[in-house]
Amino acid sequence: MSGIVRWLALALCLAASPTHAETLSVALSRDEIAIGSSFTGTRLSLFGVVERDENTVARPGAYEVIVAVRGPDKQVLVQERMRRFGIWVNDAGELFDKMPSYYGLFSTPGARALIEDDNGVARRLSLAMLGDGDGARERHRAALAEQHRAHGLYVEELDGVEKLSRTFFRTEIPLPPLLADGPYRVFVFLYAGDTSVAQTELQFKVHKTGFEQRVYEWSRTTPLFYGLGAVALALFTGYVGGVVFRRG
Amino acid sequence: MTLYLPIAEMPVSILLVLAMGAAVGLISGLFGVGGGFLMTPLLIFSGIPPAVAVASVTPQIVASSTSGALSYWRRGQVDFKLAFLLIAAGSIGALAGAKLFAALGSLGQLTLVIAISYTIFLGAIGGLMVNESVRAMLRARAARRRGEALQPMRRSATRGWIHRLPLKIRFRRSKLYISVLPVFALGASISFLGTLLGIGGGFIMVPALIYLLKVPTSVVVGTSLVQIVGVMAIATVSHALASQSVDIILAFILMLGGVMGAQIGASMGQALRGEHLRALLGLLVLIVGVRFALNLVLPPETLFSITTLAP
Repeated sequence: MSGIVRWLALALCLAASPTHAETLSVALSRDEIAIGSSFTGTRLSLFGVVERDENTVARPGAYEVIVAVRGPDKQVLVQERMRRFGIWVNDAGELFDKMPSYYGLFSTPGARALIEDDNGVARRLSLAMLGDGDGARERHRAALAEQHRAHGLYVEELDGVEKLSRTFFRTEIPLPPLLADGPYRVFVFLYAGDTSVAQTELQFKVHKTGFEQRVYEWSRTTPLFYGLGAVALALFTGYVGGVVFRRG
Repeated sequence: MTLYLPIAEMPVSILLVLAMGAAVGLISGLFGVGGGFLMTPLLIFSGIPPAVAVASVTPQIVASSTSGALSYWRRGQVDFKLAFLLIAAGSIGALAGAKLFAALGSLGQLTLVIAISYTIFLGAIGGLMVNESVRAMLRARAARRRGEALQPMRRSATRGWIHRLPLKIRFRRSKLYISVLPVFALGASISFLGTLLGIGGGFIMVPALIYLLKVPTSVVVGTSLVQIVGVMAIATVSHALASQSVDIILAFILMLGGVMGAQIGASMGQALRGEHLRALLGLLVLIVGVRFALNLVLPPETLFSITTLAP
């Protein structure tokens, strides 16, 4: 019992100690992205400032910032094509249960080693580590990442965070046209050398808007009426087309 | 000018989709076919997910067949009893087709099945059509050279096994007394294929009605069109229920293009001879079939195919 109390006291001391007194304040240019009829992708700006209280020890090196953006998870089936009986067919494939539909990783150039080195402290954030890395699935995982990267859904810009001053930084998050809707989580990590000194999290939402949203919801909530509506529209268009052009 | 498609969840160029609709409409007006067999592949090759392409072409086929069906109806060239039996049988085929379609989608095998089916059906039918129309052209040329009028093709007078089946009913308009079994089999199988592949199936139905059921040519096209409107309407609802991949916006733009193109095609068609039209159509069908065959045989660009399933 006394052991636990001692540990608790120690933990409280550490938390209150002045060596951990940096705080991160970050803000996004928008916290909602609306997908309307003319949506062809957009960019989001993130601004952040490092605040230090007066007791904070001066750090010899510069601060490095890493920003990770994660879109809603999706289930993805990755199949390898192979030649069977002279034609190319898909095999049964590997199922990835929770792959982010969007993943963006941005950092100050100085944090590159933290992400890219095999034993870098932020290695787990790197695009190469997304999904599980066990042997047989690795090729499937890499193919999935490659396709998402080609669509602009997986982005890694290790010099994407720009330092405007020693404590003030900004980055641009590119969001491509094929964006899934749902909540997006943004994680911001502050490093001094190898040490994580602060981190914070914020969110933005991507959603279809107006007509597009109503059509989508209609197709999901009452598919029978959606189907009947499509048929009615087709009959009407066909009829009107016939009438208009018969007179003309 | 781009437009975001809510179900396909991607932006497309309005003008491109409109032009595809008009081009296919022109061809369907020219040859008197629905054009689904061209529209669906065009959408797939232009990057629309196959599931959305097939499911969104079905309402477009409803629209493009409606005005034709109406005008045959006004002229009394529809055997409604036959059409409704075909539609009733077709509803079973459409429901089964949409179920299989949704299942193949979640297995990631839809693209393959569509490609194989298109290769087989378009290849076979295109080949038969080209063969038949080239023979017809050669016969016509030989007859002209001999200075004779062209003899009409002789039909076999013997009644085939189809006419010996039980459960016969009478179709007054078609002046037929035949078993309902082949009517049901035909209706169900063509609508099954049509729902699975995003085609109306008129180019299979019309020859089947003429050669298998011996339906008089005067009512064949009208009856087939009414059947297509009915079956594709059921297919649209089935797809909306089973896979939720009917994109009503995409379908509407295709309809607009198709309606306009069809009128131009219909007036162009007046200037061409029947067997030439059939040869050209056969060639077109064959080319699409070969295009799918090449896709199956040639090494793919990427060795992996990626399908996003439910969240």
